[in-house]
Amino acid sequence: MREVTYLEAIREALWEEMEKDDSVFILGEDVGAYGGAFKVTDGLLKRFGEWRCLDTPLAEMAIVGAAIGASLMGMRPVAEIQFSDFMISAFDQICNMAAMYHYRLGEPVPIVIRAPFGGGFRGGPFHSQCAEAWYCHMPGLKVVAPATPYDAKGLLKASIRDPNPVIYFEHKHLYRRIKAQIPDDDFMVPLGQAEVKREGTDITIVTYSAMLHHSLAAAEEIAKEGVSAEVVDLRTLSPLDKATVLGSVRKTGKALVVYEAHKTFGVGAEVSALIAEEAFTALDGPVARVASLDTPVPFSPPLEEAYLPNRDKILKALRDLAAF
Amino acid sequence: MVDRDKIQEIVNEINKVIDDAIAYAESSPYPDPAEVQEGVYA
Amino acid sequence: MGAIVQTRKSTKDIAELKDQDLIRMYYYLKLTRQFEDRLRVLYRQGRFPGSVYLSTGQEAIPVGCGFALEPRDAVAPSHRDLALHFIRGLTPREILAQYMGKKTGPTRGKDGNIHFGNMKTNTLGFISSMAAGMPVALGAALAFKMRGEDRVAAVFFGDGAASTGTAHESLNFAAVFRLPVIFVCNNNQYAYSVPVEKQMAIRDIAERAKGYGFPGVVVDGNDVLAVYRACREAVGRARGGGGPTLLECKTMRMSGHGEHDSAFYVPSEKFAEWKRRDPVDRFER
Repeated sequence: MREVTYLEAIREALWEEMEKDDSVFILGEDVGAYGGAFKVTDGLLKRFGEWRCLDTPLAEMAIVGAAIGASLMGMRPVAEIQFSDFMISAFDQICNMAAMYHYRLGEPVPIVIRAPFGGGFRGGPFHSQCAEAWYCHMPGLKVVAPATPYDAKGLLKASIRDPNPVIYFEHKHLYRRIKAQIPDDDFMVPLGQAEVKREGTDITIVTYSAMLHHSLAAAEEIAKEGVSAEVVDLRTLSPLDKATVLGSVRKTGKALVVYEAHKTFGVGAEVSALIAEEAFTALDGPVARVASLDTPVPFSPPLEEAYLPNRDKILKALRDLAAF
Repeated sequence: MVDRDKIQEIVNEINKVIDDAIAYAESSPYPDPAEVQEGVYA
Repeated sequence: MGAIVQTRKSTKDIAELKDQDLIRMYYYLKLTRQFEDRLRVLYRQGRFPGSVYLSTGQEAIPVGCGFALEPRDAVAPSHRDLALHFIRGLTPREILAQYMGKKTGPTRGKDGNIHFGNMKTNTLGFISSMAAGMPVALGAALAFKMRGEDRVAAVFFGDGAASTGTAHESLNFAAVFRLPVIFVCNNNQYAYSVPVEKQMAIRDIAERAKGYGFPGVVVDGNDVLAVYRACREAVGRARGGGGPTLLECKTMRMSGHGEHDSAFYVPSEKFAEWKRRDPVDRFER
C-alpha cells in the first residue's frame, strides 16, 4: 500500500495500461510536452514517445473521431478532452458515431474519453459544468465518475480494457485534495458496480464523484443526532447498478440523491425515478434530492457557493427526511 | 476489347444477380422483436 | 451468384490496368447502375420501408477509387458510394436485405439503407451526419502510421459535407501529422436542394487543400479512368509518406437527394447537360 492523490491514481492507471499494452495511446490537447492542463499525463511523453502521447490540434470532433477510427483498427485510444465543457464540440462523434456503432454494425469501439468536470474552484460557466446526464442518456456509452483514488485507478483500468466507448469523468476539484492508500498490485474496479461507502440503517444517500465526500461528511454529522445514514457511491453512472441502490433503499426506507449537476433532468432524476418505480412499497418518505441550481455555473465565490450542494445543504435535507 | 454481345452478356448476368437478390431479401425473415435490445454494448 | 461478383484482386502497384480490370470496372459501374435503377422501382412500389439514396451519375468515383485502393486499405464511403461496397465484397443479396430491414442484412435490421460497415473488409460505417466519416478515417490512418503499416485510408464525402466544421478539423488534423489519407469529395452540385454556389464562394473545393498544406486535385468525376489515375497518384503519395490529398471529383447528382425528392429545383438543362457526360455510357464507348 502507498498513498497517492486522485490525480496520481489516474496517471498510474494510464502508465500501467500503456506499459502492458502497446495499443493503448493518449491523444488530446496539451497532453504531451505540457503534460496536460492539470498535469495528469505528465511524464508519459518522455516514457512512451510522441506518438503514444499525442499533442493534437485544438479540434475536439477530430480528436474523438480519430480515437474511434484508431479503435476500429485495433488500437485502444484514451482521448483527453481538456475540460468536459468542451466535449460538447465532439457530441456528434460521441453520440452518433461511437455510441451506436456496435448496436448498428456489431463492431466494438473501445475508446475512453477522459474529461475533467465539476466546479468548486471558481472556474465559471465554461470550466465547471457537470454534463454527465447527457452522455448517460445515450445508449451504448458507459459513463463513470470516480470519487476516490482507488476507484479512479481501478475504474480507469477497467475502462481502457472495456470494449465499449467509456466517458470517464474525473473531478478536477478532487485531483490534489483527495489522497488515500491504494494497493500496489494490478487491481481493477469493474464497471457497473456501485459501492456502499458507509453503512447505515435509517436513510440511504445515493451519490457519486465529489459529492461523495460532502455526503460522507454530512452522514458523520447527522450520526451525532442519532440518525444512521448509508452512503452509496454509484461510481459507474451508466449502466446504473440498480441492485445496490434498490437494496440499500429497501433496507433504510428513505432515499436522498445528491449530485453536483443541475437538479432538473439530471442523473439524480433517473435514480429517484428508479426508486419510485421499483422500491415504492419500501419507502417511508418521499425521495429527496440535493443538487445544483438550474442556472449556468456562476463565477463569483458567493454565487458559486449558493449554486453548489455542500455538507450543510445535505445535512438539512437529511434532517428533513429523518423527521418525515 | 468488348463487343455488343459481351456487354449484353454482362447486363443479363447482372439482371440475374439482382433478381436473385430481390427474391432472397423478400423471402428473408425480419428480425425477432426480442432482438431489439441486443448489441447495445459489445 | 455470377463468377465476376467477387472482391477485387490486388492490381499491385501498376498504373496500367489490364483488359480484365477494365471489364471488371465496367461490371461494377453497370451493376451499381442497374441495381439502383431496380431499387428506385422497388421503393416506388413500396416494397421496403424507409428511404433510398442513390449514386446515379456518380458511380465512376467509388469505382475508380475502389480500384486504386488495396483491400488492406480502409475506406469510409458516403451514401453515394454503393459501388465501393460491391467492390469490397458486399453482395446485392445483403444490400437488399438491409434495405428491406431483414435479419439477413449486414446490420440485422438495426440500421437501414447504405449504413453498413465491416472491419473484415476494412470498411468504416457511414452515419447520417455529414462529414462524420472524415475524422474516423484519419483515425484509421493514424493507427496505420503509428504501427508503421503500409496502409492508407480513403474517406468519401460531398460538397455539402465540405461545409462542416468537422471537415475543417479533419483536413487540418490529417495535415499536421501527414497522415496517409485520401479525402475524396464528390462535388455533385447539390447539398440536398442547395446548389454548390450557395454552399461556397470559391469554384473548387480542392483549392482549400492549399490552406491545409497538402495537394488538392480536381478531376472529372464522371471519367472512371481519370478518377482511378488521380486516386492512384494520391494513394502512392500517401503510401510514400507524402501525407493527405484532397481529391475533388466533379460530378452531378442525377436524382433527388433521396427518392422522396423530385429534384424540381434542378434546371432540366442541367440534367440534360450532365446526361451527355454519363459515366457508364462514356466508359461503354
